[in-house]
Amino acid sequence: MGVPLLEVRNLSVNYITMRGVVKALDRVSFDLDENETIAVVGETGSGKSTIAKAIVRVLEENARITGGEVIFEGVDVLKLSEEEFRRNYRWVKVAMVPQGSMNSLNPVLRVVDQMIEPLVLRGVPKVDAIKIAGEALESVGLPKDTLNRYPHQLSGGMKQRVIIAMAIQARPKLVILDEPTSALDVMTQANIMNLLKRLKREFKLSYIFITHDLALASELADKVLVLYAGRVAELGSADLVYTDPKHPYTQGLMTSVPTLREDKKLSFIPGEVPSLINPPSGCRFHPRCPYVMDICRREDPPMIDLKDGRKVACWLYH
Amino acid sequence: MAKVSELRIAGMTLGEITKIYVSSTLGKVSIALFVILIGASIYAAVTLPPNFGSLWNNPLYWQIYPKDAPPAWVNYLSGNGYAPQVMFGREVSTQGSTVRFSFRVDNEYSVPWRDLYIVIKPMSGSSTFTAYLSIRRPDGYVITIGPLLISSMYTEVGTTQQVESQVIQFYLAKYGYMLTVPQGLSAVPYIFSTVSSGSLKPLKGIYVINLTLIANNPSKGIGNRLISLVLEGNVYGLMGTDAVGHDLWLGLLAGFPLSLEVGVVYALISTAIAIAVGLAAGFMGGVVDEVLTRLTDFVILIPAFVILVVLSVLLRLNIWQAMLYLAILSWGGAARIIRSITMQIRTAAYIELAKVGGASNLWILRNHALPQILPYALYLIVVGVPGAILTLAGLNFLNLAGANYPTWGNILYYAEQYGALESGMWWWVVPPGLLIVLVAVTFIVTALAIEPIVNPRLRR
Amino acid sequence: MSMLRGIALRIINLTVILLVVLIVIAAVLSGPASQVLKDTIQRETSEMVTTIMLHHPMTPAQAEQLKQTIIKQLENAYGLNKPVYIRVFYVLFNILSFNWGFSYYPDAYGVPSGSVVSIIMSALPGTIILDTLGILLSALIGIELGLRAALKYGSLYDRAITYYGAVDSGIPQWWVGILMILVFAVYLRLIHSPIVFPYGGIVDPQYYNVWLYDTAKAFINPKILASLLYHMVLPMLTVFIVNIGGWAYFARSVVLNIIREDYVTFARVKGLPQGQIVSRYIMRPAMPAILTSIFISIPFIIFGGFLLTEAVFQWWGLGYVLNIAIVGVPTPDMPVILADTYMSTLLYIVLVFILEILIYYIDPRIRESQG
Ligand SMILES: Nc1ncnc2c1ncn2[C@@H]1O[C@H](COP(=O)(O)OP(=O)(O)OP(=O)(O)O)[C@@H](O)[C@H]1O
Ligand SMILES: [Mg+2]
Repeated sequence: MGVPLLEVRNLSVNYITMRGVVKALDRVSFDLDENETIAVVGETGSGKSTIAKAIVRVLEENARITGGEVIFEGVDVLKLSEEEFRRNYRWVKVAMVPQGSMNSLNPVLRVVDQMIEPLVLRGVPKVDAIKIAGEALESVGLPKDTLNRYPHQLSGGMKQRVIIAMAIQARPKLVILDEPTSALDVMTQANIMNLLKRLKREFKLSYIFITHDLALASELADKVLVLYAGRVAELGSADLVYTDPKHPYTQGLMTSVPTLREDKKLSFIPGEVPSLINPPSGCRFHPRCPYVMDICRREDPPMIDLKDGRKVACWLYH
Repeated sequence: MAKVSELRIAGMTLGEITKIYVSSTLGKVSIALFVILIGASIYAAVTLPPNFGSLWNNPLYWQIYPKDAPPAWVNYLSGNGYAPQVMFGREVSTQGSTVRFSFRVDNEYSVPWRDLYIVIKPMSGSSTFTAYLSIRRPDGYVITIGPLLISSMYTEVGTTQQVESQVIQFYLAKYGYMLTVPQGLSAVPYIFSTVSSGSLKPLKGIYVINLTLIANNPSKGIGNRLISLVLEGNVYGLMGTDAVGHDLWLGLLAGFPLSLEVGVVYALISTAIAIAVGLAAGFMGGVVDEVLTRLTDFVILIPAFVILVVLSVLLRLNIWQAMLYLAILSWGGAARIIRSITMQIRTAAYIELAKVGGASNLWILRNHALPQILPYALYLIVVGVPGAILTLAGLNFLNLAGANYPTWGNILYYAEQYGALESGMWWWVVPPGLLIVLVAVTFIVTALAIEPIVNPRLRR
Repeated sequence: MSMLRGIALRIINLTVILLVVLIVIAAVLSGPASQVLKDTIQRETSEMVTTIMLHHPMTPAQAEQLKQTIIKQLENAYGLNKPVYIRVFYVLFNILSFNWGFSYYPDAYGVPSGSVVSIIMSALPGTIILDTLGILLSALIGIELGLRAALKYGSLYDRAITYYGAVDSGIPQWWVGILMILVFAVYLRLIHSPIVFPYGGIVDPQYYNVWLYDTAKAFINPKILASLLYHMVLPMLTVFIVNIGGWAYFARSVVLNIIREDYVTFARVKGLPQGQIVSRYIMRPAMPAILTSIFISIPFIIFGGFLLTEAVFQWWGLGYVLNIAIVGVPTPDMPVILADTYMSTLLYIVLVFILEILIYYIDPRIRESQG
């Protein structure tokens, strides 16, 4: 198959805070091919959004990328200058629907102004840009006159769709969706999921679909990456991970998948989400692991390649 | 849950708050500034006489002080050698009708003393004296002055016709020099001068001044008196003097307690009004909220300063009354903030309590609103002070809203009136303004230091 | 359509506020205002009676009686013997109809006839020039400085601006004016500097007549204009020093809040260049908040600061006239003080109004809630 669309290699990110250094990501790696969807799942605070922001290089000021590469079509984009990256990648090759899209629209500009900006910036005449924006809105199921509205005149679901419309109108190769449906009601959630599926087919998009909801991820995902406390716990094709989870944490997640999709944080595995400032020694999951062994407390589990192409970070499979 | 017995402000114990406050740079600076302010206020309260206000406003008291004199320490900077104020005093207690004593003074200055005063305390109207002065100069010559009639507490020696002609005579006799003393000016500086190669030069060295005082009514005698000779200097004290001779150091000192008191009392009153209005609007809602919010908007819009000017002119307000009116006119901004915080707290509390099962406004007020608002009120008090101090100083600068004591704004008013500016008398115009800034900045720095601790919005 | 409606509503709202402010002022001042009116009546009646006496000789007693009758009638006509709450409206009417009476000390102002209207009107251009230019320019500069500070959050520059802005609000503007004069007018002359600034005034003395009687003409005369600019340097510098910091401080804290908003990050994700992000995603949303926060401090800025600054620089404006009326004459010149108060309040309300319209124009959320 040639080079994958996106390769993330040993990506590590720290946040410098007053209380100490938050090790938000620790050597995270995964690949993504064209027209493929990877679901990134994990509890709140596990570092999902950090992955997304690191890829589009909009991490907060106090974040430090301490190692790793983000290779987009063979180019390590972390090494590019800000200007180069902005010009050639942002919204051209990679778009993002940020977490909390409710607040991602500028309250004092009309929807149309915000939608055509990136297009006009890249030389599309204004009239055409408005047409494209209108079509994009229609393709996400919004009436065209949404263009002339101000953000505060739209509902949460509508804003979410506007952002998605903006993401696809750029015809990027990769769209990063950071919890695009949280804080929406079940009906809207379903609508948006269907929309995403359709858009993926139509425009041959690749998705990084970030969620804490495994059931939701199953609708879209080709691959699943399970993140625990900033580390990859398990990574493999969706079929395998769903039918036969290997990592005890993934198993815990699977047994607790609710039948109804609800907006519920994954806190039903006994124990607390670990601190990322002083993470537990050895395997970060060991305080909550039902199969905990001596070695788990002492040493980091290596990333183990299983025969079926899966990767698991667990001493059980050593 | 926190122990009920432990006092907590904004979720922290007093100890914790103090620790945060003291550990921040701004906190340290603010403490240092406060120590200065309060120290100066206490010093002022202790050292200034209780009747300082009336002393200040009595020009007679200041007449022996140099006028328009820069601070004495300019000598160190300029090396110009301005003679400072010198005062010799002696208590006498005698039934005799004559006293005689002498003082020595070293003239090492290139600009000699301006004038000479004879001060006798106490002085009653009925008894008068006659004084003779003989001054032995470093060059061995003696200038004799007198007889002078002493009929009041302060007798200025230098500008009388008689003294003038005696000095002119001296110059004629000793140097053959025709001295002209400019109209209305004192002849005293020439006592400390000499003629060399045809022009006047200061004569440095030791002078011995002999004073002979004779009671004009021998039957009464001299009695118990403090007799002083004052050589009026060209520089004076720490802060210099103004056109009246006021010792500016004392005037500036008196401003400390006054502006602190006025500023703090203002802030207490206006914050109290703001809290009452803000809480009522935020909690009662409905019509009350509507009315109070309108009122608040209105108060914010009122141009307080001009109204205060007019009221001060009209009602001849003193500084305390002006402060009160200012408080009544300027609680709007704070009330608006308190209201919006109250609304937030109330909404949050309702959501929380909806699960548990309802609670009264009073309960929310006591358990949620006040613990968050009271520390914030402290902040509002602190930020309120500078505005009041500046506004009142502005009024004082218009010679309005005065006090018994001199205020910094008022000192500046007189500076402007007497043309201190045009004649470059920086010691009269710079320090009062600097002190206004000092007090205002102290409170601003304090506000900056405590805001992160007490502002419920910033902590979230 | 809805936009016009919104602005109209805003205008009505502010007009109501202006009226209420005026009524309150009128109520507070109805005492002295009535006194002013009484004085005017006295004065005019005396003149009238004197003229009548020229044609119809009468005894002093008769004249006095005639005078009293006329005064009675006039006082009735002006409602001076009505209860306070009615008199307030008479006062209000007089204010609104520019019936401001005569100065007690007409010579103190150098304006002919001593009519308060002409005194105040001659002072208006000076105040408007200094205030609007001062506020506008210091706002522009201050917001720019604050924005840069916020963008370089935590840098030395940022901290410098923060402290300057905080301390700035504790400095009396008029005192800075005094320092300016001391340094740039007095000391520069002492050291025989080739460049010196005037001690005060609005134009050179020889142009005063033009300025006072025919201000419009002064503006088209390049010499007078140059003189005006020359005299404006120090006052304007003073205004800048004291006001820029406040604007910078407000702008900085508002921008700091907005920089953390999701839509700014999203604008970066969209690949917009920094300049566009700053102007459209930071400044545009920040403006209403900056303007609103400046709102609360305006009463003090305007009246505490500008009026006294004018007085210090003897800048022929409302503040200087007020200063003369209070301390430049033997007893307070009440008619001038009152009219000056009204006029500055009016100016202030107009300023607030412009601000409100600006905010309203920039922020669609406010536009909605009003419309
Ligand atoms: N700007 C920041 N400064 C300091 N710590 C941060 C910052 N942003 C995130 N963190 C910390 O980094 C860790 C990962 O955060 P991240 O936002 O990536 O989590 P997430 O998986 O997206 O969680 P959620 O499901 O709640 O969105 C968390 O512990 C979070 O507290
Ligand atoms: Mg997240």
